[in-house]
Amino acid sequence: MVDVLVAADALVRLFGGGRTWLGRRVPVVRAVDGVSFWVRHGETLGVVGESGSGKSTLARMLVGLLAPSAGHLSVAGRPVRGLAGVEAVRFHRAVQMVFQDPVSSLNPRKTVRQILEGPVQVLLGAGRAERRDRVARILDLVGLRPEFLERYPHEFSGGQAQRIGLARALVVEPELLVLDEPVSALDVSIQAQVLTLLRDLQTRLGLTYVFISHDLAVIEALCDRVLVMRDGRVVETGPCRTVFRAPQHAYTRSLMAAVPVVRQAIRVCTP
Amino acid sequence: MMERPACPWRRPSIWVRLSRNHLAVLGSTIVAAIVLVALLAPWLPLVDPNLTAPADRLQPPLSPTALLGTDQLGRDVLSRLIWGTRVSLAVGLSATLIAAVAGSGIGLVAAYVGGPVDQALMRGIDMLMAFPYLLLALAIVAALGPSLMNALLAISVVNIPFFARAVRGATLSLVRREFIDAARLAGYSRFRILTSELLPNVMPVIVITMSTTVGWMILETAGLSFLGLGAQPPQADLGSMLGDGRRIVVTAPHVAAVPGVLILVLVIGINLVGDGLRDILDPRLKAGALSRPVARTATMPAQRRPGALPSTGPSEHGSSPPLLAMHGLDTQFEIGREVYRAASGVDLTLGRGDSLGVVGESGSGKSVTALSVLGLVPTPPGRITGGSIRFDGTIDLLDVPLSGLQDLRGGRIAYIFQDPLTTLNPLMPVGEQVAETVQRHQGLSNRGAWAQAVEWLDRVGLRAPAEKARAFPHELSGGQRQRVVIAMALANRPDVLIADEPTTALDVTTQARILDLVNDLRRQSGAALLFITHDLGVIATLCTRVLVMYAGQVVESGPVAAVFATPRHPYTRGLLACVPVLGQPERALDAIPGLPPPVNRLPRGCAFADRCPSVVAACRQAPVPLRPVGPARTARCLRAEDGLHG
Ligand SMILES: Nc1ncnc2c1ncn2[C@@H]1O[C@H](COP(=O)(O)OP(=O)(O)OP(=O)(O)O)[C@@H](O)[C@H]1O
Ligand code: SF4
Ligand SMILES: [Mg+2]
Repeated sequence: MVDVLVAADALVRLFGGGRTWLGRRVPVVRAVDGVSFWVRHGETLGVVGESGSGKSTLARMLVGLLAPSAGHLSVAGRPVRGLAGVEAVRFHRAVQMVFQDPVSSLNPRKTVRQILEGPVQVLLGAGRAERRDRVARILDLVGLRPEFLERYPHEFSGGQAQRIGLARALVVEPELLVLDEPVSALDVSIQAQVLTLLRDLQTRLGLTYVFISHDLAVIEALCDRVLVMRDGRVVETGPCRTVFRAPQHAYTRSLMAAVPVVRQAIRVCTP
Repeated sequence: MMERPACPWRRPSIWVRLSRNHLAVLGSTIVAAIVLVALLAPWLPLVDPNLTAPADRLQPPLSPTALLGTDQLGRDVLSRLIWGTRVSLAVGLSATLIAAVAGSGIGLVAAYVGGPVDQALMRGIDMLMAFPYLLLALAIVAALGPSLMNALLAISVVNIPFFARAVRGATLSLVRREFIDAARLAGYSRFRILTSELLPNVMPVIVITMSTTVGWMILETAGLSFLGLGAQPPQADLGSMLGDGRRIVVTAPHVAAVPGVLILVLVIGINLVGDGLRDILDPRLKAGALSRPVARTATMPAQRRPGALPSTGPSEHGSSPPLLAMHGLDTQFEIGREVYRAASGVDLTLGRGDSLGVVGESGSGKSVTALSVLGLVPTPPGRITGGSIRFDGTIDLLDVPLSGLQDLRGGRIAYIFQDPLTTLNPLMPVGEQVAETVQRHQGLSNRGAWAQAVEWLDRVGLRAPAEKARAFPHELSGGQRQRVVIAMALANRPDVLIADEPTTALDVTTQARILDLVNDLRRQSGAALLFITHDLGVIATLCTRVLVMYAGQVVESGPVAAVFATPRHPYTRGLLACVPVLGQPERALDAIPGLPPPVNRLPRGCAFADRCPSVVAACRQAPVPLRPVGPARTARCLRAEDGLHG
């Protein structure tokens, strides 16, 4: 399988364990507990599950912010393990992340220009002219006006801030984008703007997404395949259509049943 | 939550704000004058401060040769004072800088690296702090030998812990923020993350700590010199001058008094500036928290409030008035010169057993409307300037005395907020908190109230309620905490239950359980429900009527099924088109372009005009009224009927 971009094999991540300095035992939490999957070039893998099911831990392992306690993870044929120096730079050039909280993911003391030029400078070693050029292009791509560059994050709405986060991740032209609940903090109208943008960027740039959300409808709208997680394990996986049309696992069914629906009403009003 | 206006109103610069603080201005003037004179010392026509003139010893102030007199060796006090101030300022500032750099470095590294490094560094700091701190300074100078340099060192060392602790605390709250993760993904080295991501964000803390400690450090240096451990004769600094004058304080009081007064004035000046800076830079004080919130939103009295009810009396509804009838509510926030019209002219009726959903984007005024009902909008900056809220057909809630309002709160009208932690007291077992509400409104015995509390905790589906009642809020999960809050809200069998996004912080499965619970309990108890959410799906599941808000106004209202099936306002239509629907992945999500207008700069005409696909010239010319558009339906759109055919 030559077009597999991400391959994860029996990933495990534990938290806690050991003892406090008073000698009390800290209980072990198995946040991710033996998760295996793969993602092909250009496809979108959705990850759903209720809070505490290990979605964010998985995301952080995928982008190298957390080291797996056990198991194997490779991106573009290269193992992700103990990244440092040149290796780390090469990895982050290929793999970037968009965070859940648009506001907390931007440094309040930096201008948008500084936020966007930083990764270009460090990861691509680009000179001043190329940095300006790339930043201008990416800003246009995510639909932000050039005059925003000299502003600070607190001057933006949630939707605009999330576009800046998206621009920061895309400015180094990564192959894989891990999105951890990127629209959960946004209003439906703004959420729709960002989702439309994500779809559009994927077709234009041939990006691969791992998209994490607790909103099944959002996952279904954007993803090719889905991974349903519960308590750190995968309970069901498959193409979105199959999984949502005929869920095999009782947990998936209960997740689906829990979604409040406007379906009937909306069917009537949209052509 | 305070929504950022899309067109930002810039905060005035630090200098502008500092200049509004009169004490800080006074302080800066004093400090600036003293510093200026000290800096100019070499150019001023002063005699050599160390030149002794035994013939002219102990001249009183205002003598012809020496303006401030001379000391016991005949040295000119004015000259010594100015040169001595120079030394004291230099030592105090250097000590502050050294302490700030070392302490902040320790604090930053401890918080960022964490683990054993943090433990080791902070243990060291704790040990420093364990000694009374002047004693420690004395011990250091005693060990190193008396000299100005050693005094400087000692003062720096004893002040390091203040910086280390303050900076570590500030950094800890930052290292978990996602922008630090983002910096790691951008390939930044640890050093660069410390200096370019963390340091600028803790800078205000460092500046505050510096400005509040520099005065003390000058004082402490003076103290050491006074004891003969700092500046060595013949060099003058303020402390050593004071020490010299002490022995002759009876015969020649001016020799000690002059440096003493200067120290006092200087330190007071510096502390005034420091306090001023702290008020400006400390984010906790930024939001106007200095002015304590009042028990009730400021409300314009009925005589002057447009739309107020003529008097307290039976309403025109006759036999069965609605439980809650809000008419033309105007609530605004006055910040500086800006007026944010958070709710303007909101009408809302809630009958017995009704369940009304309120939707709208963030900042559309949903919460403000709900909070206005019981005067819970924070004042300042909030103020209710118009309208009426009739409760149970008789009283206008905007005019009842505070005590009446407090009896209603948590009694006949109860709230459930988005974040249960804001409602719950972290230091009290949850059962006691439920019991307390019950007791306040029903006057039961302790035992009876506790039994009721446990019963309600059971009823809201908390497993092992008797046990859970003894738990503290932090020992429960988010869903469990929200159940406790619901129990508290329902325990007094309210007539009206106002729920503001009670499930937004919860995941879908927990949300579904909580919604079921609210619905069941509402049906059993016959309470009316006002449910605020931005999730249209939740409204479809839970409510019979819906109210759509936009930029502080109601733009559409009616029965849920009808409004969702044939929305009359383009905004409602847009909202519905934005919702991804499970089972229809192909549905194109029609994003509404742009953003709502900032509520401090509302346009004259329709507030939705800039985003509206059907806008025509008339829409922008005059305010668009809310008008009936069908059975029990209203909409605020000139072209409400067009959509029917389009
Ligand atoms: N304490 C406050 N001080 C100043 N302005 C405020 C305050 N609280 C709310 N506002 C302003 O009032 C307007 C309405 O806010 P409100 O909280 O009612 O919105 P909302 O519809 O509840 O939004 P959300 O969905 O985010 O909860 C906003 O423009 C907001 O900026
Ligand atoms: S009044 Fe005009 S601008 Fe406003 S919603 Fe209706 S058609 Fe659009
Ligand atoms: Mg709100």
